[in-house]
Amino acid sequence: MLTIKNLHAVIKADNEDSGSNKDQECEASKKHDQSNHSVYGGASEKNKEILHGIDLTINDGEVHAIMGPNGSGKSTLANILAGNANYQVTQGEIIFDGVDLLSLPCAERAVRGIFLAFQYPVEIPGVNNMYFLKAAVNSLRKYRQQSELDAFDFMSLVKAKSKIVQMDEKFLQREVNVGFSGGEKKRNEILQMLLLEPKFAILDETDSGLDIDALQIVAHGVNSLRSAHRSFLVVTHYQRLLHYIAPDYVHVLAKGKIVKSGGKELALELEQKGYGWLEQLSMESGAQEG
Amino acid sequence: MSDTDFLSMGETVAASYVAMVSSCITQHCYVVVLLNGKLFAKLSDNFYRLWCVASLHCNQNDNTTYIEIKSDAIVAKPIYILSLITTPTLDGQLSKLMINVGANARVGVITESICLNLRDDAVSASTQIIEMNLQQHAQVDYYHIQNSERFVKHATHSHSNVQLKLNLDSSSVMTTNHLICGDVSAAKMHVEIIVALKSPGAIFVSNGLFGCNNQQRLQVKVVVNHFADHCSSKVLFKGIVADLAYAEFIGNIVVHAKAAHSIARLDNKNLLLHQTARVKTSPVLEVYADDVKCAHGATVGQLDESALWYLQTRGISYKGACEILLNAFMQEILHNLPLFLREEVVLHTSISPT
Repeated sequence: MLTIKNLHAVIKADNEDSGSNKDQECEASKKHDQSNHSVYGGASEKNKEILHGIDLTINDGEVHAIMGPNGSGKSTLANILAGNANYQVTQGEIIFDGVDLLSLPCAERAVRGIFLAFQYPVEIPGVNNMYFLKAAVNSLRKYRQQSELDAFDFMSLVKAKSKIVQMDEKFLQREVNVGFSGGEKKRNEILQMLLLEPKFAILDETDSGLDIDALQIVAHGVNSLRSAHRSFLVVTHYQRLLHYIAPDYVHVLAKGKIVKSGGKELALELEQKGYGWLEQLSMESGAQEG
Repeated sequence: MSDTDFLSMGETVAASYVAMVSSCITQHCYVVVLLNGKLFAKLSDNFYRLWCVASLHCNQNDNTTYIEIKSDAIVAKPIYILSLITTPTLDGQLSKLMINVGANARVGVITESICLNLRDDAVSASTQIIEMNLQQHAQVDYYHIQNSERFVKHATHSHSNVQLKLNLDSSSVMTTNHLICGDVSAAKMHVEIIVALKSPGAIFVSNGLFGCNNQQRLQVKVVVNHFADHCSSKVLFKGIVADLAYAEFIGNIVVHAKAAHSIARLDNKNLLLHQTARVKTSPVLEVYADDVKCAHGATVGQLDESALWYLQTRGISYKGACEILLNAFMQEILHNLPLFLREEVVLHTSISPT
């Protein structure tokens, strides 16, 4: 079970790209918020708050979808859960199976069962994909005090799993994500998820840049892992992915807050109405608080 | 202690170091040990098959060892030459190794030099010169290892200079791989590689990896002279600098006026592991001939933050992630090494990103 309580977070100032529109947007929202809240714990003047108090509980076996417009903080939330050092949590807590997640380094979160499927998987030149996958699986096994898999056992495991995502074996011999197409990268992400069998998987816009076939394959990979012990947080812009991965709950994130939650029918409603009306809703609620 | 005491002590120490040379090397190579520039006969293999095609001669007066590979010889196993200097003096001990490879001969050579300072009270300096001459159509695979750390675990306060002079005659082919690790703690090291492509058609390919940490200072200098036409050279050196160390790479390719149709490439890529580590690189081309194809480049960078983060989200520790990326950086050079050398040399370094 994962519980997020009143989570506030900032992006660290030295990692920002001040030229982009997105940041100007954040700038505007920050000014707006400063009038409402007097203190931001620990955040320096230049840091920009992106999440303004998120509360969310995800029970074992549940699939939650997070939707929302660009710049609403969806990816930030995903990155914070996985432990990206570019973001700083200024307030609130995240409890995962009774453990304070924020106190754990990134790698330990992963071996404890948190998995982030990247929106933009990172290319690592010079590192063989198979070698990378084996290193990942073996660090997990080491944490669980299991013996490391040898090359032969690992090979048969990875071959079986790559069939599920219909990934050609030649990609196992290439460098990690280097020269992979968008679809191949995402399949590689899902392959990693299948190998690591996480307890809590976050899919950060895994559907972006996928064609219909690849989308189905990725969804099939995710669905094959669904169980009563495993939960998912699916971050997406579109209802399309949720058609294949049916969520139990849908939350809408706007300007760093969850403004509406509902069942999977909410996704369909959003598809028709867009996000505009919800943003309006959030501003109204913000005004009431003030 | 008198000088003779040091000499006998040197022999004992040398014997213990030779014992540390792994069975891998002794299995795969002909082993020749030079102690202070002289053949250390006790420990050198007396390979009948090697000396059928080669001859070895030591000049005791000027600390020079000559190895001659006869023309048309094909040497079955590489020759591993361990050169130990145990009694360096303040003014610099000189030892010289001359290898002459006859026409059409093919041979693999591995040299490893270690400078030990047995006199703890003084900073010592040593100079070693390795000179190799390739006759027409000779082919040499040369591996040069400079990694005292794999033998010596304590500071020796030595300054070591190593000079390689490689002369290539027409249509001879030489590939070299250099592994250079800075000396343990507060030492200075200079490695100079001077190549002369003397006659048409010679090919020189050189790959190198250098690393230093703590407060070491390391200078690697590569000079390739194209004296004749239709020669080609390719040089790639990669450097890893950690802690407070300072490394300097000076690359210089000179295409002389007569060397038309030369092909040359010079690259240097560096990785800085800490904020305090420094590297200076100057890849220089000097071209005095027309109609040549030359290129040069240099990069300095750090471990990729996003790659580190990606690896960590897969459960790999920060240290493990750093090691994976470091290995990836080195792989371009290391994959050229025969397996027995790769395992032997690479694992013995304390350069670490964490």
